[in-house]
Amino acid sequence: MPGLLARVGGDTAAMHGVIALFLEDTPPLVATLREKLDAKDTAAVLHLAHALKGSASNFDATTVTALAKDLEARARAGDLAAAQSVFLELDAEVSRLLTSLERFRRQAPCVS
Amino acid sequence: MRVLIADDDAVTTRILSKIITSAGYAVTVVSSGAEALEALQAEDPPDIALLDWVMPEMDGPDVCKAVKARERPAPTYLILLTAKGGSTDVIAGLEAGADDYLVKPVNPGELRARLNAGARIVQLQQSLAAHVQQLQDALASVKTLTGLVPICGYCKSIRDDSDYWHRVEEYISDHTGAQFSHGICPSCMDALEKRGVWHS
Repeated sequence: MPGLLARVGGDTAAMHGVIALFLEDTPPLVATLREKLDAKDTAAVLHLAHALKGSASNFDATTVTALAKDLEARARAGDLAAAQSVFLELDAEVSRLLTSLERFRRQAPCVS
Repeated sequence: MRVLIADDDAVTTRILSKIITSAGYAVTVVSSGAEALEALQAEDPPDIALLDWVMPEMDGPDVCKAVKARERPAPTYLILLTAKGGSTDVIAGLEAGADDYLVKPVNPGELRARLNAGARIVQLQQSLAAHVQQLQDALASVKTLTGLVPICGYCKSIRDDSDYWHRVEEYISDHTGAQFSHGICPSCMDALEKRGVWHS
C-alpha cells in the first residue's frame, strides 16, 4: 500500500486506521447505494457514488474510482438503467478491493 | 495556526488530519457544508479551511460565497478540495471566493506547501489588521481642526459655535491638543522697537 502509506507520511498505524475506516464505512455505503438505485433516488445515487469515488481514490483503487465516476455520470445524466449495470460491476470491484485490503491488514499487522 | 477540514468522507478526513497535524497545525473536522459555515462565521474562526466541493446541505463553493460575503479584517484562507480538476471547476471555485484549490486524492507534499503558503498570507493579513487597528485607535485619540473657522480680521480671535470669541492659541489648543510657546518674531520686534515699546 505504498501510495496510502506516503499519503499518511509513512505512519503505519495511521495507514491501518484509514484502512479500518474504509473497511467499516464502505459496505453500508454500497448497500445504501443499491437501495437508492432501486428507489430511483438520483440525487442520493449521485452523492453516494461521488463519496465512494473520493474515498477509494485514497487507496489508488483506479478501477473502483473509474466505475464510481462512471456511475456518477450516469446518475447525473438521469440514466438509471445504465447506472444499474455500472453498479453491478462496481459492487464486484468494491468486494475485490475490500478482500484485498482485509488480506493486507492480516498480513501486515499494525506496528507503530 | 488552526485548520478546519470539511469533508463528509471519513477516510479522506482521517488522511488529511494526519498530514496537517504532522505539519504542526491544529485540526478541527466537520462533515457538512452547514457545519463548516457555522465554524467559519463563529467569533474566532479557523485561520485556514479545507472545504470539499461536494458536501451535504451546502457545497464548498457556496460556503466560500457565504464566508466572503461577510468581510473580516483577517479572513480565513479558503482551500477547495475537488475530485474533478477540470479548469472550469477551478475557475468557478476561485470565483466563488476560494483562495486556492487542491485535487483529491491529495498529495501530502503539495498539501503542506499550499497550507504553508496560506499560513504566510494569513499571518500577513493578521499583522496588517493589527496595524490598521492600532492606527484607528491612534486616530480616535487625535483631535482635528477642520472646516470653516470664523476669525477676526484685526485681533485674530476665533468665534466658536456658541458665538464666544477666543484667543487663537486657546482655540487651537482646545481643538487639536497642540500647545504654544510664546515668543516675538523679528518683524514684530522691529515694529515694537520703532514704537519705543521694546529695546533689544
